[in-house]
Amino acid sequence: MRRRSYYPYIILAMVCGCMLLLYAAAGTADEEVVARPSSPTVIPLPQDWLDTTPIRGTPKLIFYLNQFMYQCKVCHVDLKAPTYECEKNLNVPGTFHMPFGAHKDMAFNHGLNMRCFNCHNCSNLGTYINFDGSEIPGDKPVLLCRKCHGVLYRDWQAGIHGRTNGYWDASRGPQIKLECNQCHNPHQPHFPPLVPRPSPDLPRTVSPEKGSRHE
Amino acid sequence: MVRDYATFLWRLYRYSFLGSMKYYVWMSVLTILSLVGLYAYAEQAVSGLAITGMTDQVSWGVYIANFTFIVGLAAAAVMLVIPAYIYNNKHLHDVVILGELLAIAAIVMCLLFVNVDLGRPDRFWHLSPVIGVFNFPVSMLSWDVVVLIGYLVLNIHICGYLLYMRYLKRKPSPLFYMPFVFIAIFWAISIHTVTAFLYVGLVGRPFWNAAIVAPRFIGSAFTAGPGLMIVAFQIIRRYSNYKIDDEALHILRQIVTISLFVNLFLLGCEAFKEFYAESVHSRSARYLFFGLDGYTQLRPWIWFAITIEIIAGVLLIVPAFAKKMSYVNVACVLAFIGIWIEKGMGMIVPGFLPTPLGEIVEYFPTVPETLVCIGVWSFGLLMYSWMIHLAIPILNGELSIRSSLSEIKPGLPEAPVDWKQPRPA
Amino acid sequence: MSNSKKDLPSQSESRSLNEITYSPLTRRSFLKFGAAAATAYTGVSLALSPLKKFQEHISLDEFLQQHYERLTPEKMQKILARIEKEIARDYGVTPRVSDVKPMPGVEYAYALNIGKCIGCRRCVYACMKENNTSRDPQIQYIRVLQLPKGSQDVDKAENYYQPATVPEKDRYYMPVQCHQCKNAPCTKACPIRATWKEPDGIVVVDYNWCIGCRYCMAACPYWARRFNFSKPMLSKEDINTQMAYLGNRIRPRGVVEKCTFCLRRVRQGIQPACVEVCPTGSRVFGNLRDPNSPINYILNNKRVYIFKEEAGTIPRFYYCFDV
Repeated sequence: MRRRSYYPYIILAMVCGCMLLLYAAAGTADEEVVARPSSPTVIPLPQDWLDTTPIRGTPKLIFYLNQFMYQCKVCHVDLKAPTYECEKNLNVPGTFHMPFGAHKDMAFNHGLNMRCFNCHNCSNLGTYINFDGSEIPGDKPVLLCRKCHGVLYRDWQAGIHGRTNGYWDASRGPQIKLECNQCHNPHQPHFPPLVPRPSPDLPRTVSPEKGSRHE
Repeated sequence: MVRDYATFLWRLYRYSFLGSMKYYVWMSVLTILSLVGLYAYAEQAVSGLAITGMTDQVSWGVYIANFTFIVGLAAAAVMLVIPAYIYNNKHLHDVVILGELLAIAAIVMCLLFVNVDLGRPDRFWHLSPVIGVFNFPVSMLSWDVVVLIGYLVLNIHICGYLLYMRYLKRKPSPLFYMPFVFIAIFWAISIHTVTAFLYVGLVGRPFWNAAIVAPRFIGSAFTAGPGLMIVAFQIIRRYSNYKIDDEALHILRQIVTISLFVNLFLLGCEAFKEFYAESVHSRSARYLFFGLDGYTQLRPWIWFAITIEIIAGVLLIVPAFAKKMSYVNVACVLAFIGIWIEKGMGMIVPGFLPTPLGEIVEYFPTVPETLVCIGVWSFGLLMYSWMIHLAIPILNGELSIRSSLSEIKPGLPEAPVDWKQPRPA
Repeated sequence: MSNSKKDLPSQSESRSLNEITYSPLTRRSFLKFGAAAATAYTGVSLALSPLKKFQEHISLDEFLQQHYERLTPEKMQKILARIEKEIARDYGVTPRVSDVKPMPGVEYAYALNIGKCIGCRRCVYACMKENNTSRDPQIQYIRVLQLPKGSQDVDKAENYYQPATVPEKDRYYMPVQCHQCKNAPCTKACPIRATWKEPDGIVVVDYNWCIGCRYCMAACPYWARRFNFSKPMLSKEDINTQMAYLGNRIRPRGVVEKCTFCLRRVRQGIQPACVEVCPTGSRVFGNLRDPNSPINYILNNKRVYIFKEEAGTIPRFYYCFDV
């Protein structure tokens, strides 16, 4: 009777045991995935997530103070053009002398353009001033901004700076182009940080504690 | 002639239910497991594929992994044909049909795995050429459909023809099977190459977009397939009276040995290419072999697979071990399991991770998914066992047109019946 | 290595095959057969019992429906009416599904200014609203990546960022959606041409033709495609009832979907939803064949690059930055 060698079967049994252990370890590491029962009460998307109103809203630049709406002329009814002396004191190199009074709560951060009368027409407040001293109407801020931001103005005219709502095909319907101050605060034009909408749901097989790849 | 064939089929049907207690137990167990799989699939049909572990990130899982592996088995089953017919090795003639029956069972399993993976299996008819839209030859998946169904038809024809001729105790006409046998040789290589090209052709998945994938597939298929056949033929030899030469098993063993070392060599080539000058494209390989950013789920599996493949290689190449059939059997089982892991979790899942957008979402099959896989494997084994159970008496000559079952069971009071006579009253 | 005659038919089988097939039915064989058949029937029906909970309605018309490109206009109208009924039944709204045809002589392209994108994700949710993507499980066509400065490597990207405000310091943002590639790997992959490139450049999916094999998802280098693993769930109030057959109609379970450049809108000349809602104006959409379109202005004047250009997909989606 041939003596049977058991070693091969021992090796095989050990291998099968390892396989089972691997499966058990892997299988119990994740929680059981069950198809989520379809819930009839799915929460709809909040309406303000779909809002296409530009960040700064309406085209008119309106000055609010304590929730009252002011026109510049209300306060500056008899303001004369500042003398050179006066302005010199306002613009001490290295410091910016914040306008006092009603404007003191405004933020000013327009890069190097920190002289109010670069943009505002001191002889007719409520309008703006051009390079040659001519007036830019108050309801056309684009003509003001393009004084210095020529490249952006060119892009805006082509439709690639700022958003174009409505029809991409102008022959089929209206295109709504936004004006500069509908997104940018002229005194602090850097686009403000926004609250991001929620991150995507984790995949259904990933438990929230483990998470997916984060960095 | 049609009546003869109908009677042949009827006798096969009857004989399917006749067997020893071991046969009943084996088939019952497989049937129960298949029904368990069917139950799990019914759950999947109700709840959708959400019940599996697949996600948008890893959109193919263990179903396609098993499909890929089993296509390899089907391809390798015809490996026997090459020595038998081209090199005219008489020893292998006994087992060629057994190998081709394995191919049939394997292709059926492949088609089942594809079906359970589909999101809309009710739309399967969309694949047909005239009434549906068949995107051949652009889509590699359409090539896969063509070669798999062609291979199935080829093998059913060859086996069916040879078995029926043996049943009729007639010499098979070479015209009806030799051309198909030679076609089958090339076709077998092509089914697995096309399956490999499914993956190789995807430019967005750098882990797969490499030329070495197709040779790796063939190498691993020719290890796992003949390995399975070595074990299967010994089981057939033990539980039936079918004569299988030791020489056949030795040839298979040599095929397994060579293919295993080729497979390990190609794995080494892959490892060198990925890790010598590691780039962004090597991230999937790093995830698989070493883990990435704390995600290490596949790492123990692949190293386990490589280890047991090396052990199998040692058992097959060292003469002291290779001489004894028990060690060869262990080596075959180890190689089979190792390649299943390497081709399944080691090829499909890392191809998807990290995603093209850098995300890692680890995949593990759920319980229903695993049960469906068990069900399909059981069904495949059931089919193969059933076909072997029918084929052995035909090949032995015990079930033939001039015999009846009583010739297989000597000692029973029954005279052979002339089938051409009218029925006894 | 002996062959043992172990597995011969049982010796207890007292009748031969001949007798069984030709002799009349006996009580014993009938009972045996009956018991076996009953067991088989019980087993199979137990196995299939979960199908009692099956809720999907697949009508014969839907089952037999042909590929989009083979449908006549009359058939299309019937199909649209059927789809409207199905959506009304399943979601409780009254949709209007139309088959919006492409504009002739038009080819779309999209530019995204990563110098301006702040990663606020408003585009993601506007897209969900317009395209009726499932809320539960959540499907989003647009995925915004947060990348550290100095790298384009998406493996360093954070997908799930949620700071108090965006943009975060030393980070930039790169939204990714379907690029509608001119040399799309997904359309090559589909075995049944359920996804194809339309004349205006949009890669569309026929949701009633897709079999859900997900080969296109494996093929896409941009992870742009999503699969409906279960039936999409949306609440009634959230549904956009203006739907297009190839675009934003509510998809059935088991099919693939993706961004279609808001096909229903752009083929009528309207801006896509993501463009309309972007607060920084980073997104620009237009017609490549129009030399004066904004997209051509960007391609001619700005620094533009293509994501994963080495993949050879030739996308219609460009990333640009000012200057």
